[in-house]
Amino acid sequence: MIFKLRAAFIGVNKGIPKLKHRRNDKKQRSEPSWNAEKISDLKHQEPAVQEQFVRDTGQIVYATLRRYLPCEEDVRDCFQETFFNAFRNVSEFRGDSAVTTWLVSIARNCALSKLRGRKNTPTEVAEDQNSLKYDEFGFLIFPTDLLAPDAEALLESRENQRLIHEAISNLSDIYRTVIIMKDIDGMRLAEIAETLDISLSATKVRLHRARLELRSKLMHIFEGKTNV
Amino acid sequence: MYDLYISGLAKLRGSGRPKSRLKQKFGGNLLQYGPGLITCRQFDGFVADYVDGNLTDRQLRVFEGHMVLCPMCRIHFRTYLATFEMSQQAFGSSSSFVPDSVPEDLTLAVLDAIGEAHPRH
Repeated sequence: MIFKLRAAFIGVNKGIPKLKHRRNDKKQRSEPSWNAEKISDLKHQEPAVQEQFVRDTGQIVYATLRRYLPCEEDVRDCFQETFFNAFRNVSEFRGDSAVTTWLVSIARNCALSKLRGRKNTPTEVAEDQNSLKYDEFGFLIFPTDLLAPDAEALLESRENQRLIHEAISNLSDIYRTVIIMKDIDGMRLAEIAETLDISLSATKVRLHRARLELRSKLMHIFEGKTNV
Repeated sequence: MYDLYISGLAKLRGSGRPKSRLKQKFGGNLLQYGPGLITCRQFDGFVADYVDGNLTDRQLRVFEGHMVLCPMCRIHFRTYLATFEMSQQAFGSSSSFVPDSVPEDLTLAVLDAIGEAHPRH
């Protein structure tokens, strides 16, 4: 396997967790039976049918918006806007993807638009406080007393889950967005670059910096909570 | 063959950071100029690609070789990976923070807005 560390032969990978590339198994609702054909005339359907559509698909839209937008008021605004836009443009949906994927895409664009519209939102972090430090010989200087917490053990506690959510929510908008897109929503780097309208290399740099900033926050939070 | 090479260097270098400046300088030069080796800066440039599975086989070997030789980068990698996994799992199926339902008043507000925008005739 490509991700398997081959360093085991000299025992140096002790404590290095194996890379688990699992897809996010978010709470899956029963996939509603909505398809391009069924929603093509949604605008002119009975109110009961429209209501069923909103109720069947609302949770995934709401959950998506909650990930991107820390402010509940913004979530509510975008939730309404997402369905408003979906109903308006429903005739353009050709069924190339699942209806929920299409709706999530609308919701994500709405959330990004909301974030971009904020005043004083930096488009890039000029000085990265979490950039790594190196000594005069080129060796990485890293605080050895802040080792990696055991992710799985930490996540068993509801309080710790809350702290991780809080750490992600407290990231700057540009960092939170790219972490959610890549690490949580599982988007490809090229998709993210296109959505954010930045180059692929800029996307990679931003993602890396975002993870470093999140790590810094998590280490601060969990410092002293683990004996790893 | 590469594994033996790295293993030999690791034994030569010993575990941990050398204490004398001369050995530190030698170690730095070794990583910079040694064949099939990378510096800590270059290692950091590969970390995200490693986690995202974007390294070629050759890059992968060199990346892992550096991790064998550099204890600081091992910690850097381990904590980076833990961060990645924690953010993934925090929103996974076991998370209590994935909302179960949409507030009813919000659903009703959406239905009202749709009804007004697209009245049935």
